[in-house]
Amino acid sequence: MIGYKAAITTPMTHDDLPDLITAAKGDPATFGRLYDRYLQPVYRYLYSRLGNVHEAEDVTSQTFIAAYEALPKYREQGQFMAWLFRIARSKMNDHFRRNRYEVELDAAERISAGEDVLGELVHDEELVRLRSVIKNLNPEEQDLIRLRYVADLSFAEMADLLGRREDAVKKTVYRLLARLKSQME
Amino acid sequence: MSDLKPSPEFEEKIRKALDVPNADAEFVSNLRNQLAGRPVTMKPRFMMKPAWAFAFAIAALALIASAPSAVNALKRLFGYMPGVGLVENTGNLRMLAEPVSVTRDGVTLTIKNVLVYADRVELKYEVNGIAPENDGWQAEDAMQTPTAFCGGVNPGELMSTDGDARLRQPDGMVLERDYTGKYPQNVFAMQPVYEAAIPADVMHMTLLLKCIPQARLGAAPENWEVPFDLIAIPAGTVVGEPVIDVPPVDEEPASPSTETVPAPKVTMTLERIVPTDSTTILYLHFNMENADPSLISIMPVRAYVIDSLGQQIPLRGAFVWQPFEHQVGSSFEFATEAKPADGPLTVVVEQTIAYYMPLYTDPPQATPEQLSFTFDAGENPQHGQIWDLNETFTIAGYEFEIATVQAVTFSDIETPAYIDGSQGYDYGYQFIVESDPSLGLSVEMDIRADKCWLSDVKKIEPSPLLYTQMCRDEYPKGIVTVTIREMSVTLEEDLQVVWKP
Repeated sequence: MIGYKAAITTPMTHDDLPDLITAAKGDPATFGRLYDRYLQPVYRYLYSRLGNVHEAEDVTSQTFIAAYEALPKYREQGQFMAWLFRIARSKMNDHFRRNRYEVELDAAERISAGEDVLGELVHDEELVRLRSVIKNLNPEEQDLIRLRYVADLSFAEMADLLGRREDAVKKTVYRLLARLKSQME
Repeated sequence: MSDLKPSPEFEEKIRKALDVPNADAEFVSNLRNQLAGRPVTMKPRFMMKPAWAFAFAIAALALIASAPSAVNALKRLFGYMPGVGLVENTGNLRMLAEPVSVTRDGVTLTIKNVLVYADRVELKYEVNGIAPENDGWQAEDAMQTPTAFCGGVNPGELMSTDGDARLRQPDGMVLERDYTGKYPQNVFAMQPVYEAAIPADVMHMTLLLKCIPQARLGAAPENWEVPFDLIAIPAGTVVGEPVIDVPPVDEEPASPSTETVPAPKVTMTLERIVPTDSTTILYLHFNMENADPSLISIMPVRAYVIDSLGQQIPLRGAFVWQPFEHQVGSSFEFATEAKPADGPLTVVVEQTIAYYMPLYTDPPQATPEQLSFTFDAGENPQHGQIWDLNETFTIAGYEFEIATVQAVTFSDIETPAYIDGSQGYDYGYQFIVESDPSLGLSVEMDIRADKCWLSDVKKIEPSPLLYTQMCRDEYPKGIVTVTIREMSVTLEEDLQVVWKP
């Protein structure tokens, strides 16, 4: 087994990324550093969409295996995060299409059991209300919020992912937040 | 924009409201190990030396001959190559002498594997250097303008072979990719199979490629010609990792069936096992006793092994998830997600799905007329309008009824799964299909009209199945003909095979 553990302890900066990506194309150990950097944002995003640990793990696995296999085709243009999330969304899409029957059953069961698929139980009354308001946003708006506040993508990364201008994405998110805030007042 | 900017406190509340847990540490570690154990696509393990195939064959021969447990494998004809799968040496095997790469305008085409068998040629190549915006798998406009990319066609149009690699022999004869569906890997444009007997003296061929599959036309080099050499592999040499052939073992039912309707008896056979350093590869196939001739495929739903320490390790399929590509009796390749402990292995498959397609078997088991029905949508169908159908069909002894059809719009079926939206398929018809609820029966059908394509299947027990097909621009009008394409049944009984080394 090739050792990832040594790599984990080495911090990575944005400046390192192009070199890392080039090196990772032929070296599982280097890919491990990208994995360590991006695993949790991808997993958290998928979990927030799928609402289920098992499915989130499954689609996260598919995402990183696909990314690893497709990495030789990736040409670094400073859009790695967007590229990775595009794969994650594509895998999630496949998952929904392949398992729609089961997924919808699961969702129905979770809802009937009182579990909230947006995340862990929140006891704070204000936060409960906020979540309720977020859930009433349309799917695209919810996705924007998730990308920004669950996956912690920058506006530039979101813009790359969504094929929009950075300032337009930022404006949309800020307007959404303003709307949420006004609905909370 | 500054007046819109939210306060950090409010942003923090949003984060808290959406808080989700991080991935479990054990999962993170397992996936990391799994990735570390995968073959590296850019540096194939066989690429280290010139004439690598021959050197490898000799080295493998020496290795196998020196290992008592592997001597038996030498007598067998299969080896396993990561990224390729089983390689059978029937005595006339030729392989790619060494990987060949050609780079044009920053785009590199690499021929990675060629296997010339007595009856076919298997090729695998890859391409690097296509900019994301010119790669149909990544480009934002690929869904909207499929014909702007090599091999792309609009929905409903005939397939394009422009992205098919062809092979030219020294005598000028050109081989075309096989389209009979016999070879599962052939669904991948870059893993074509050619059904042909290549003369024994042919040791050189040329790959011809009009355009790179899914590359934006005009944006990447086209009309490729890449010559490559072959090398003969000595008879009896196992190519790749030794494979253990498993003698036929009857599977044991893991749990008694609780079906209220007798389910067909599906059998699972473990054919071969390949222990590697990081995983174990398993080859399985499924059959059905007294199967209806319209049965196309039996697909596993969930599979895992239990090793000698009692660890349950999921199996990951390396196959294409298309029933047509896995006809009954064909092998499924699985890999364990982690290395099992030495000793006996119990292979378990939970649920299988049996797919029946009477129109597409050879010979067909029904005519399109027998599996079609019509309804009169009138000249001005309206959203929400419902027509009673009460059309009953029986396939493979399973009876179901298409009870009603309703005019719907995309917003009626839309879920977050439709990331690309309606793609213009905004108007459609939704059919209610009723059957015995214990069967787990699903039906797919086609509206016989131009521009109908996007399909949606939904079933939430105890409701009946909802099958929807969407069409572009408008509702099909007048007499609408619908043909049943496929029926599937979920078989709940677990299958289990124990392998004792």
